[in-house]
Amino acid sequence: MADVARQSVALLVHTPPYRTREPRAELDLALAALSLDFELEVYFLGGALLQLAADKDGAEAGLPPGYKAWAALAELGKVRLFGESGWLRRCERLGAEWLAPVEGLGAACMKTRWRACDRVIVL
Amino acid sequence: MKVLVIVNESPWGSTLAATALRLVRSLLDGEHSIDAVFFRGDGAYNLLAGQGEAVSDLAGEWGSLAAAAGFPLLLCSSATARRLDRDPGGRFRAAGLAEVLERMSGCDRVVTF
Repeated sequence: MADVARQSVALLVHTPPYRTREPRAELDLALAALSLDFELEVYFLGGALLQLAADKDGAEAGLPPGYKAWAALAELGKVRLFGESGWLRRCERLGAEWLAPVEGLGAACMKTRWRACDRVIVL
Repeated sequence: MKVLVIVNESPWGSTLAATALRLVRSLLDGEHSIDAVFFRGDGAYNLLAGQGEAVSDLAGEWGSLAAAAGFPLLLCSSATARRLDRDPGGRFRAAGLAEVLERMSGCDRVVTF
């Protein structure tokens, strides 16, 4: 297997939660990247940030187990989670709590960080 | 330049799969190389043959292009298992996320549709 250690990968996540099972597939890719020692940055764009909302559970909607297990990523390796700062502020004003620490970024900062990553995958 | 292409969309859900196909063709014409094309999510439906004018036959075009240029067509194994009841055929084969991430690290560019 190629040496991928210390390469960084950014995942750009657009999918809001509860509508499809796609968030679980996105989580699988994140888990695989960390398992292979990539440094991971996950960007939740727009309403995709709600994937990190702690107070909802997808089980009653028939969504797969571990559907929102984003908090588990930190156990596997180096990962940072980002959301758009406007969305973050709006959700927090409404009392949202997050499954894992999430950092807010403006559009310009976000693009700068994407450019600094070795690979970017749009999901 | 060696490029890995990731296709997330079915041939009928949007025009992105067809656009990906055109990009691959252009890259090959421009003497770049394609490391692989990876179909994930609804992109796994690119395996299916077309159905007349309603659904264009991207599977045939992907197969011809891959055979001519010698790159693999990789289907996300879990996405395929959830969507299709048969094994990949032709130039398509199942692949796991680990293989794709490994390929990604060896490519100059990754382009996602």
